[in-house]
Amino acid sequence: MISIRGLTKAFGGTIAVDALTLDVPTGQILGLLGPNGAGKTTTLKMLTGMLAPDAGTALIQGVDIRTHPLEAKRLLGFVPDSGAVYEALTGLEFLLMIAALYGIGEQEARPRIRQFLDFFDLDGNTLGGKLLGAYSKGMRRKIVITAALLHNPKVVLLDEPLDGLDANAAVGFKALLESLAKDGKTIVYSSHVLDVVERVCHRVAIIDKGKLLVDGVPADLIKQHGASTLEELFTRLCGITGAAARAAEFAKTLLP
Amino acid sequence: MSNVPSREKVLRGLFWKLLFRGRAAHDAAGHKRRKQTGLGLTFALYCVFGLFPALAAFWCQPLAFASSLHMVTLLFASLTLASSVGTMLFVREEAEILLHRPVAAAELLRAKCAVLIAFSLLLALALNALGLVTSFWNEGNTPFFAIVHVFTTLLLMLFSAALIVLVYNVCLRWFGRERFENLLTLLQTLVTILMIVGVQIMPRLLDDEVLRGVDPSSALALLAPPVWFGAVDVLLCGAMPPAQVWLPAAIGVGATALLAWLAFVKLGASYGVGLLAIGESASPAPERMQRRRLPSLVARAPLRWWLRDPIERQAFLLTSAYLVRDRETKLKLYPSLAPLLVIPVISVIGPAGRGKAGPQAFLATFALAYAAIVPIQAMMLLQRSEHWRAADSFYFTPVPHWGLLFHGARKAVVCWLAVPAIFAIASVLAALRGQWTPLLMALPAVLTVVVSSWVPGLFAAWLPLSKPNDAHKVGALGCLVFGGVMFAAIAFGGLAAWMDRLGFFWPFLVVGLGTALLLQQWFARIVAARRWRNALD
Repeated sequence: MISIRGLTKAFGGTIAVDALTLDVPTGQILGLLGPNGAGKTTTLKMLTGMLAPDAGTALIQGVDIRTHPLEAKRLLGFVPDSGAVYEALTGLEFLLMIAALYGIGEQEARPRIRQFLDFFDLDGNTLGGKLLGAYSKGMRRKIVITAALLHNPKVVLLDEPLDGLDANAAVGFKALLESLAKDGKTIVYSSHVLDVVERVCHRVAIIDKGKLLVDGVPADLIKQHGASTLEELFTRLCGITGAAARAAEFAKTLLP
Repeated sequence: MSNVPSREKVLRGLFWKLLFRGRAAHDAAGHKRRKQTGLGLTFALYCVFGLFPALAAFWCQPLAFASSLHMVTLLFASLTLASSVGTMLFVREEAEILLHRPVAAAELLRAKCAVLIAFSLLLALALNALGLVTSFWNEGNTPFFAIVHVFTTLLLMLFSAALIVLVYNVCLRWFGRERFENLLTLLQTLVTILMIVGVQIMPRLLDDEVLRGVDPSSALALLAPPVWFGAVDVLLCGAMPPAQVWLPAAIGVGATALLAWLAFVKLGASYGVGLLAIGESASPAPERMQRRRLPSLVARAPLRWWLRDPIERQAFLLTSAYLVRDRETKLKLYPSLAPLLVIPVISVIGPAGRGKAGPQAFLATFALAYAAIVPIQAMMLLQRSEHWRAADSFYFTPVPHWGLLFHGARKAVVCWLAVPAIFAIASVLAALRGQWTPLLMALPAVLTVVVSSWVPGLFAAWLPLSKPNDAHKVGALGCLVFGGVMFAAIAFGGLAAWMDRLGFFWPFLVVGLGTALLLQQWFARIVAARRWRNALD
């Protein structure tokens, strides 16, 4: 499980995350929503120990990421939205290197990689022979997801994980998330794609300007706020009102 | 679990691979071959450089000989280390790959430094290879010197790495990301300049009386790191009495231990913070000021007159922005241009500058020849970027011809790099010589760089920032072009100096201007005739 208490981070004079408090129990998929610059990625980076919070605590399975970073990092897998990899390594070299960082030897890692290879329909020859710099965006994303799940983490943090995946892979990955949650993994899913979040996540938290606006089961939240969809609820909460009318007005200005 | 290598070993393996393969390779085999050939040539070159201190064995006492070897090692291997450290330590996307995994920042730093030290040790051994052989003929030395010297070279590399890493970490901590990136460019440029200056002054220093016999108790010995490690050499191999050399040797070992502790232990943990800061998107205020200044400059005369086409103007802005803001562009561009600016100045300081051709002819010829290469070199580097995929926008937008993008970039290079470089060289030369002549000679040099800036577009369609960094670089044609432009520039410079001596400088300049205009007309036709496929190759 994840336990966040009063997590705060400021960059210069801008508060990116403002006293965020959240709990994500074991076996739950939490959708983290918010407009651009809301503080989603900053929150995830603090949860992964990549950024030190200015105040507050974040516990990963009860381990404080600030005081025991290495222990906490062993428990989590992270898919960053950048999809960054070492492009001069082959996919296999990269995954074996990542496995070794989690203390998984080559003999143990290879069959695990093979499982992911089969699941994502990745070609073994490509994985071992081609450098990551030559992979397509979707293939690279599959490698990054594999690298996040290879060590069987208890907590999985995902930042726009479907970006670049084809429809088949995306469907498969969403189903995988549900199975992982059933098996007791705690998952935080940050995305802008609201309908995917609505379908995949058990619970959503919407943040804006670093503050938690609402937190609950999507259907309940929609009902409570008198909205018809999660999208409507999101636009209402994040101050985007009359989007259709604004778009129509704007389109007129584009016409000669 | 017992057969799992330690995290540091895994990281060392990773960084060793990346060092030899490059970070953004596509074709594993081809890239590896090119890199290996390049490395082979580097090692061969280092062996040749090592000849100078190796010969010192025949006339120097053991401490002076050992110190000469360490001086050359410090200069070449350590400076190579300094030039690689910045790019290896601070990779923008590395935080997202590694920092959320169970890897301590200090482990990451130690692994990178171990790889860099190992690599620079290989370079250092190539430099010292001949010296290790000639040490057997060094009067007063012992046969153990060769073994001991390998150990002290390792110590010297550790000293250099610790010092460099400490400087980078301290700078990052004190100056913040944006200033740090500029500092990184400045450091790498300075390192390149130091190496060039070193190549020029090294033979003169080695020939100096000072180095023939070093007094271990002198201020020079106590302040100069090469002498510290030379003292460790002679102390351990028993070539000199311990009472004479223990102090500089102790300073060497003590300084290495202190620096290593400060760099890898004390500040090692803060390395992760720095690594993350490099990737952060927030920019401080001064850069925002720069952002506004550039478009307003372009909107005003004379740049507005010079950049009439809107596409050309945007290509000018794009190139200018990368010259000022992009860390990777700055890191590769400025250190590679530095030699072109420094070599003419150094040549003038030395005896060669007082050659028979006379100062005017010499200055004009060399300054012009090197300045003419500036736009070609810059354009070649500006064609490559880690953001090369963004160049797709040139293909899916209705750009009528690639020439517009080429001209915009070309003019940015002439405006911000080539012309200021000419006047910088000319001013330094004028100050050194106490004459106005170099400033006068800068005028034909400006004509030369304007003409030579066309060259990259004469042989193929040229688009700014459109190729990956690891794409094949200079081929045979490229070398021929470099040579040809340099030869033409030397001839033009020599002619300018001769005309100045005959009193016909201004008429010559007018003729030169006319010729430059004619050449530009001709080049413009060649560029316009090269078809714009408007599709990716």
